[in-house]
Amino acid sequence: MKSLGLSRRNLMLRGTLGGIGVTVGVPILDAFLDTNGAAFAAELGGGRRPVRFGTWFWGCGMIPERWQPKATGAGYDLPPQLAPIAPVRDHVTVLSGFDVVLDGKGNLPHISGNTAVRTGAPADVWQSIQAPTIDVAIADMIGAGTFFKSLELSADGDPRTSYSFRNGTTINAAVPSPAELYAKIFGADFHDPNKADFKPDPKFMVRRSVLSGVSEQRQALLKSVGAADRARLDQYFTSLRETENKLALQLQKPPAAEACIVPSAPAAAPSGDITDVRGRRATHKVMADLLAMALACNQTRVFNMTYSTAASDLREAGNTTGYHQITHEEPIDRTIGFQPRVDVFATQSMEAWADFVAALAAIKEGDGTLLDNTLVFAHSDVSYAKNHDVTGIPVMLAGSAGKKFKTGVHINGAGEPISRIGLTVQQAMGLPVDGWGMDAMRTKRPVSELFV
Amino acid sequence: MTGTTRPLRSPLLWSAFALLGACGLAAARADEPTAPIGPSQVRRLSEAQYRNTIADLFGPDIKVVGRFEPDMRGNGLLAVGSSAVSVSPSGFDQYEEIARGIAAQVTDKEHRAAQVGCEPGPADPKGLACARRFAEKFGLQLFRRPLASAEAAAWAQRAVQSGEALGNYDAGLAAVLAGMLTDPRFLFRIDMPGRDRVAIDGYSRAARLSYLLWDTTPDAELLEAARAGRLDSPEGLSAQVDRMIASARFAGGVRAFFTDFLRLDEIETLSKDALIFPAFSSSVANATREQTLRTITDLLIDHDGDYRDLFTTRRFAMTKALGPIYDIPIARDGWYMHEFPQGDPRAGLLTQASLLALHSHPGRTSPTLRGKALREVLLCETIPTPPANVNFAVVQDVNNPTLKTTRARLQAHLDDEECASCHRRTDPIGLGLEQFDGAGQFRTRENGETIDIRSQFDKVDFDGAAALGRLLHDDEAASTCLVKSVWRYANGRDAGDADTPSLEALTKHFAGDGHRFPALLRSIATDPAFYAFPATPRRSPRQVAASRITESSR
Amino acid sequence: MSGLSANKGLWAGAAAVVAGGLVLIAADAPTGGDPGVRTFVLSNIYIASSGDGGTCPVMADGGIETYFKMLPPAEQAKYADPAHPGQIEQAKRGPLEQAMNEHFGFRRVAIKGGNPGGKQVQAKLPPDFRADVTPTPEQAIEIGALNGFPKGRGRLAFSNLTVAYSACTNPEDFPALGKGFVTYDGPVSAGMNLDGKAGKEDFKGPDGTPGVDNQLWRAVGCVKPFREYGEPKIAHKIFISARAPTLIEIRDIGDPRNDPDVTVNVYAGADPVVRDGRGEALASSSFTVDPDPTLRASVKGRIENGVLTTDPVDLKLNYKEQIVDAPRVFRGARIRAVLGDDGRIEGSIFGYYTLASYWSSIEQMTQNGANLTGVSCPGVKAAIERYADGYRDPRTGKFTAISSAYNFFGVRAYIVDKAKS
Repeated sequence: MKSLGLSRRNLMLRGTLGGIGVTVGVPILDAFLDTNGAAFAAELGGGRRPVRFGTWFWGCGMIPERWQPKATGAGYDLPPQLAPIAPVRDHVTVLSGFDVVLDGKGNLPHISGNTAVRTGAPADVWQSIQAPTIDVAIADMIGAGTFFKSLELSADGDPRTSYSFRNGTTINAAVPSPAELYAKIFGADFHDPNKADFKPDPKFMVRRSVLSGVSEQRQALLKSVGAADRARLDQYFTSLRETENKLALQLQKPPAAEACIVPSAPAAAPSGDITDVRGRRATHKVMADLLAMALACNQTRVFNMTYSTAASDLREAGNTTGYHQITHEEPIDRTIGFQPRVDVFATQSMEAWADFVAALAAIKEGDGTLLDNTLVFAHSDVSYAKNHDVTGIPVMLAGSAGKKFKTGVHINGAGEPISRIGLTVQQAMGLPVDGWGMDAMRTKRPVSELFV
Repeated sequence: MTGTTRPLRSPLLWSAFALLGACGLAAARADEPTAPIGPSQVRRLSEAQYRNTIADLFGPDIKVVGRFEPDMRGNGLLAVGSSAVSVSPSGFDQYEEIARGIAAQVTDKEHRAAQVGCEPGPADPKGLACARRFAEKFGLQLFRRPLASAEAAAWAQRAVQSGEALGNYDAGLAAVLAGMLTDPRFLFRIDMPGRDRVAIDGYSRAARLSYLLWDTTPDAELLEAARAGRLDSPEGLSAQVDRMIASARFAGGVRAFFTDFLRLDEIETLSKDALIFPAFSSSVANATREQTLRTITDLLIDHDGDYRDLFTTRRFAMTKALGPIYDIPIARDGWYMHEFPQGDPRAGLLTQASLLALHSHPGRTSPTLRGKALREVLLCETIPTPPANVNFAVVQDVNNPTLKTTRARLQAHLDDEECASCHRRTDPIGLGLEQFDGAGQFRTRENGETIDIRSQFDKVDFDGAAALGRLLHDDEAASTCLVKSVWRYANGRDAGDADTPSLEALTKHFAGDGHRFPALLRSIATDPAFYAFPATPRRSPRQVAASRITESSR
Repeated sequence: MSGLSANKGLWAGAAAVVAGGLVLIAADAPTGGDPGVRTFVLSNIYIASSGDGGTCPVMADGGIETYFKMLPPAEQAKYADPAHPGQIEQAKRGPLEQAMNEHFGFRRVAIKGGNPGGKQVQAKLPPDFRADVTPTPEQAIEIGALNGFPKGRGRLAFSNLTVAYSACTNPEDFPALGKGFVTYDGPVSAGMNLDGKAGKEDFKGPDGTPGVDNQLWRAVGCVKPFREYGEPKIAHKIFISARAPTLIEIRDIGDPRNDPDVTVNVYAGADPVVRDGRGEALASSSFTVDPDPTLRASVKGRIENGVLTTDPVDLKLNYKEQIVDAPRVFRGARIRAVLGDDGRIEGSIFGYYTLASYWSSIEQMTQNGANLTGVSCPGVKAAIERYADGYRDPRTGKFTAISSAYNFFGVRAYIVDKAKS
């Protein structure tokens, strides 16, 4: 390793800020290597495999009679809208009949259901949610130690399509295209964990040192603003710290990841109408494959994938009305007893879900697959979209969370609060929670049938 | 709106939930907090402001590459939302990456002579003095106030050491510049109090002025005026305000306001069904936005016109890309002002493709969305969100070939009293605009049937978009709403009771003065209240929201 | 001249266009443009296929196919497709083409650097050669001589980037490569009775009208690419000469269904025609026109029951497509078209295509292009010279043009004169 010409002495700067003697230290390279290196390696699975967590979201729910299996337990039947998951059924647990309990609160179309599932209580608008979304809580627990604390993805080309919120005004914007996802993960800052040689790159040290210089302003700034602005600036400094930690990680040799194979860059996306359901499915599939490899390469352990927004913007090219509109406008066909075009869209959402599960299951890891070491929490914002029904919101889990959960079973909640699922999932991921949710949706009872 | 669940026992509302769609779509984007956003010292730069700032400080050829944290609309305005947002972890990553990209270009061989202008030499072997000058220069420009001496020294030291670590002096400078570009004092405009703590200090005033009037960072003259204390006096302030309004850069500020006010930024993600509207593409979409902005600056600045005339003007900015949408021959390259003949259906902003296409569905029009937009954007009204628990149990036969036009299909909105209570406010407006399809193209027939454009706006009859424009022209509420919106945009917050006298005075003056937009901005920019330092620490939005939810759940 | 003797399929389609209109078409009441004037930009002008009325028992062989069949069996087997022994294996076409070039002594040398056409041999150039001026035909021969071409041989090719010698530059040198060429002998073809007579060389129209003159179809109607591109379904999707489209303007229209006296102007567009979101020509775009007077024409016409017909007129229409820049010269051409309510036009040009301009479009394909598409240059040349039937040159006694039928599609457009704005 070439000499960097730095010693602790000449990096300490004595100066005055505001008349007070202050030592400004620029951390040197060694500090990152010896003590921390070993610690990081252990955490990243020298021995134990990390368990990943993610959410998968699709908008406008399903048609209950066409989606919900009749039989509970293992080997459940696949009604027509669930038929697409047949190839991955044994990986997927279906949870039906779990309700969002409004208890007098308004049912804001496409908001109440989604906020309730993800934060444990229904809210009028995302800006007023009381708690972080479930993925943020889990990422806070398990997200350090990988380059990205979490990855938010949207298949619809819009970075605002994300349901990952730390609080009402801090949304984790999504990576909205395969090309950007590839650049973000496998671009300039990527360290192939399986590359034999590793030299810590001084540029990361420099970046980190510069950021720590920026964070020196923290105290002074926070003192000079009011309470609300303080919270916002504090959020900024928290984000800064996360980036600092990422840079610190770059100075460590990453632990080997056996399943990691760096993929080639995706083909350029065809331009044009991104609401077209066929294009969406194709884009989603490419992103799912990239995400799976990102997980296999230990670039993150928490992810959020949005296939379509809550008021689903999906459309069939050439049709004047899109999915969301027809959920309300399409009449029920008397001869078959349901809305035919809505049925097609709902089924297509399940096809995309099947694509996603398959992408994770395709990567071998250890004596199983990546999916075995993952837990995916898939849900929608409503059950029957025509009425914005938030009872029985469809939920599916994929993966066994490192053999903690059963897979391939159907559990019916019989009207129980849907926050029970969120509670169970957090417990599976190692969060020390014994209760979750607020007001009428507060619960202390996990869905114990899920545990192995 | 905290509705209780109530089943709607009524005949099916065929095509009833365009409004649901509208509200659903808008809200699902998490755009609109309903809690008022109060005074804040800290406002995040928007993407446009960031880019303008970089272009002004480093030159327009510096590429800004990366994805910005999305700006948030606060009660309709991005400028208000800027007072509520922070920076998320992934957003921070992006800012840092963008910053490094900029810094690398600024210190490269091409640019360094002009931007850096010094290097290590016999008089300055480590380049510490050069780095110090570098830090001071860019600290002043980026933080919009001079850097404290000790801090400048710290940055300089860091630059030299980083350069040594990287084996390249300029790389050290770039690292420090990237840090400054990531600093919260660059990414946010942070108001500092003046000595009396009643008003903000000169540098804060400079930033407010330049981002309001030019949507960019203060220029050297404005910074110098701040330093010399001239912005603390009414005369000094007026002089700068007048200079800035007279400048060619003022158009940039006007464009920024109207982009926010009219939500034209949403055009960027607008998509239309290519089979139904084959003439509409994303470059056409961008041209429609540019058309509206140029029409506005031509009227309000170049011709010092009356704001209300925007709703009746036949003078539209035009370019070749828009020829197919407007179905007119375009003989010139670039942009020019086109005058539609007297009696032409195109007259006023309501007939411009930008607004018409923005407030439509990908495959067809939406009178409900258009009516809602007119009320909310141009009249500052609030349209409540629709109820969620609608029972469609009783279904009308809707395979109905007799419902050929949108008007016929939406009749159901107005037949049912529950729906009509809101739809009555929105649909009639949009129905009068139906001669313009979902891409803003003119038509007289829909599915073979002539489109009837007679409608009512608040009980006054009108026929067609041009007539509606005239009604809007004469509606005082439109001017009141504009004044309020400009005020909110400038102040970055919602108005409280204490602001009512201010707003009333501004509105009166605006009307009495011929509704001139530059004059309105001048009034706001020279009003001492614009520079008030928020005295009391306010509760955080979460605290406000928490109290609201607790209240509503009783 | 009889009435509507034209391709039946074409008119049926056109009628559908007129009758059905398009439900979701956007603007149907333009707020711009002059009354009584309708202008169109044409997205494709293509040889009219005979439709269902006539087939080719065998298709004409291209030059490379003919060479393939000339080979002794052992040699042929090297290039044959094992699944279809009489055909060339796709992967072997390249080597076969090389063998053919060597056998016949085809040559090609690049006179400008940076040719995109694959490996090129750089030409030895005369000392007075100027890279910025297009060489004359004599200079091309001079370059040929410097580079070992046969005496007196060498012609510009590939957008004037090379000097070449092949069966497409000099078809008369390679009659053997025309051996597999067959002409169209069916009874039916598109077209019109141009000479007012019903001779034995004439066809019947698809609707049975006698006396149709379309010797060009007789000559090339069994050449696969021309036949294919003549199919309306395919023709609809293709844009030809998009960077230099043809514009048709009809003036003095009183009643758009019946008007005994209208004026039809034909222009060469100086702006490209672009595709819309459906892949069709973008309607209501504005075009400036080429000032070159030879590219303009004006003729009288009439509209009867929505069908426009014109008097004869000489036309020169741009045809710039990839490496080909070969304007089409039609003599004594009549235009026939249906103007749709939705702003579309669909029609035909019946006239005498000059041999010189037609042959230029073939030669400019280059030998390589001909090989790729299955065209035999010597076969085509011989056929069009044999069947030429119009505009006899008094000095040589030979016909200089050949009767033909071309169809076209177009959408509404505006013509603008940039000069006055």
